[in-house]
Amino acid sequence: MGSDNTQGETKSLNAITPITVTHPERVDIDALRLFREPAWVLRLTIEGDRSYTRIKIVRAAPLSHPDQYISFLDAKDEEICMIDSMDQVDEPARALIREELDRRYLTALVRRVTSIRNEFGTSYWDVETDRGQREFVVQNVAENAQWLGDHRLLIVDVDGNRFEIADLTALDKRSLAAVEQVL
Amino acid sequence: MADLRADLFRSMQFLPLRFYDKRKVGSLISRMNNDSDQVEGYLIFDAPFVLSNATMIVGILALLFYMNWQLTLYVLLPVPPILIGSSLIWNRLQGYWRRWSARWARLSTHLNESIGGIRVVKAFAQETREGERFDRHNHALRDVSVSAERSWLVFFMVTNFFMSFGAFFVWYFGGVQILDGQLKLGELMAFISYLWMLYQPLKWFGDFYSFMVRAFAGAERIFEVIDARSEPFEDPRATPIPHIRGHVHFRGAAFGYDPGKIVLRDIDLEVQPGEMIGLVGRSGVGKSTLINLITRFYDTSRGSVEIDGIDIQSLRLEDLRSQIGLVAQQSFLFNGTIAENIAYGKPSASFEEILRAARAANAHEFIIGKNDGYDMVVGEQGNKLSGGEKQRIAIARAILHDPKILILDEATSSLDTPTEKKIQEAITRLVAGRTTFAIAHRLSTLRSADRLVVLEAGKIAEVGTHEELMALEGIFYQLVQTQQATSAVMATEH
Repeated sequence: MGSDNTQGETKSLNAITPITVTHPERVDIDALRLFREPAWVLRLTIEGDRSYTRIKIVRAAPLSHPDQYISFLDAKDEEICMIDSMDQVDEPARALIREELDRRYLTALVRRVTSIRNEFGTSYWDVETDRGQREFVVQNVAENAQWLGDHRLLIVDVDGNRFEIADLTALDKRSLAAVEQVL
Repeated sequence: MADLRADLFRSMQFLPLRFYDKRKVGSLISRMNNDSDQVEGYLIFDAPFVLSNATMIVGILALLFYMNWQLTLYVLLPVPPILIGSSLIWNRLQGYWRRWSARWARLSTHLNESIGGIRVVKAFAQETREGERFDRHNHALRDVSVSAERSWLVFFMVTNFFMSFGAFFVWYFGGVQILDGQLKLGELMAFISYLWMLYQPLKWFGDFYSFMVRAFAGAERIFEVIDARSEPFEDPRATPIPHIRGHVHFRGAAFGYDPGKIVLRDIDLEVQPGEMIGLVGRSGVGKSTLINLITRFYDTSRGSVEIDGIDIQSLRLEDLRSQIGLVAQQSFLFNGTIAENIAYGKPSASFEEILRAARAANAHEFIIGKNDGYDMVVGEQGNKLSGGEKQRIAIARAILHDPKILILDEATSSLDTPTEKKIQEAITRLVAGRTTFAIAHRLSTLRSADRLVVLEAGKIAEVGTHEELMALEGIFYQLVQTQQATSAVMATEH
C-alpha cells in the first residue's frame, strides 16, 4: 500500500502488460475510518496502519462520475487512497464525504430559466436553481458552456460560478426555448 | 453538401504526410469553409432553378416562333456572338476565381499563423508588422476580386448591349412588316411583351454563369484534395498483422523527402522484439526520418523496412499504426477532457483503465489536483496544461494504447529536473517489453538503451552499448565529451 507496484516491468517478449501500476493506493475499505476531530478538522484513519489529519476529499471526475472514484488527499495534496464508489463506505462516512464534496463542488442545478437576455455576445441569465433564484452573466456561451452528455450542460459564468442543466429535455418549453436561443 | 464536406474531411484524414508537407493548414481549411461555401451557394441558390428558367426560355421562344418566326430569328441574331464571348470569358473568369481562392487561402494561412502564434507576435512586439502583412494579403484578395467583378460587369454590359440589338431589330423589321401590311400593330406589341418576358430568364442565366464559374473554381480545389491519392488503408491485398511481436529490420533502406536529396542511405539494422534502441546524432542527421519510416509516414525510396519479417509496405496499415505508440517532444492534445485525451487511442477504455494509465504515467497526482480532475477540458492543443503535464498525458495515452513498438522522440527534453524524473520513471514503465526507438539530445537519458545507433551524414556510423561506444572513442564519444563540456561551462556560469 502506498508504494508503486512495479511488477511486470521486466521485459516480456510475447505478452506485454502495459499498465503496471494498478491502484497502488487501494486500501481495504472496511479499514477506513472517517471522522471530524475536532469538529472543523477532517481525519482519516486506515485502521492498524496510518492516520491523517486535515485531509481533503476530491472527485477524480466530478462531472462524468460524481459518485465514483472519490480520492482522499493528505495535507500536502498527495493521494492517500481512492474509493471506487460511495456505496462502498458506510452511511456516516458517506454523509461526511457528501458534506465535504458539496462544500468543494459548488454547482447550482438549474430547474427553470426565467429569462436570458443576449447583448453583443454576452448573455444575462435569470434562473431558478436548487439553491434558489440566481442571476448571472456569461460571456460567449459557446465557449463557456460544456456539454457533459447529449442533454447535460454545464455553464460557467464570468465569475467562475457553475450552473448545471442536468437534462435539457426535462426543462419546461419556455426555459428550453430561452436556452436554445443562446446556444 | 454535408456529404461533400464529410468526404473532404475524410480525404484529408487519410492523405499521406507528403501531401501536408507541401501545403499550408490555412489553405486546406479554406477549402473546407470557403470553397465549399461557393459550391454550396451554387447548388442551393442557382442549380435548382436552371430547369424552370430554361423551360421558360424554350416556351417563350416557341411562342415567339409561332407568332412570327422571322422576327424571332432577328431576336436570336445576337445569340451566337454572345455564346462565343461567354466561352472566351469562361477561362478568364475561372482564372480570376482560382486566384481569388488561392489568395483567400493565403489570407487564411496568415490568420491561422498570427493568431496561433499570438504569444510570439506579442513577445517580439510585431503586432503592427503582422497587421501590415494582413493588409497586403487582404488587398491582394480585394484586387483580384475587383478584377473578376470588373471583367464580369464589362461582359455583362456588352451582352446586354448585344441583346438590345435584338429588340431594336424587332422594332425596325416589325415596323417594316406593319407598313407592308404583313403584321398588325397589336401583334407587334404582343410580340414585344413576350420578348421582355424572355429577357428575365436570360438575365438570370447571365448571373448563373458568373456563380457557376466561381463554384467550379471552388469545386476544382475541393476535388484536388478528395482525388489526391490517400494512404492505402483499404488495400485488400495487404497482409493483416493483428499481433506484432516487434522485430524490426531495416534492409539497405534509403530515403529522401525530395527526389535527389537523400536523407538516409544504406540503413541496415536489425532490432529484436523488446529491445530499446537509442538513436543518436547531430540535428538534421535523419533520426526522426528513420522513425518516420517505421510508422510508414513515408515509404523508403530504396531498400525496405520489415516488421516481423514482412515488408512494411505490404502490411495492413491500420494494423501497423494501431500497434505503434509515439511520445513526441511537443505532445499534441485535443481540446477535450483529460480522460478523453488519455483514451484517444482506445476510445472504448473504461474509466478504470484511464486511471491506471494515468497512474503509470505519473499523471494521476497532478490530475487529481485539478478542480475538474479527469473532466478538465485541456483547451486547444492542451494550452491549459504545462509542458510536463501534457507530456505525462501523452505517456498515459501511449500506455493505454498499448503499442508493441514505441517511439520516444525527445520525450523528456525541455522539462525541469523533477518533472523529467517523474516522466523518466513513467517511461521506464512504458518501455518494458516493447521494441523502443528513443531519440534524445541529452545522451545521458539513453543510458538504459540496450543499443545505441549513431547516425552521421545519413548513414549508420556506430552501433553498440553506451560503454562500447565510449570505449570506441568515435563520434558518440565526441558527442558525449562536447555535451559534458557544455554542461560544465553552463554550471560554471551559473
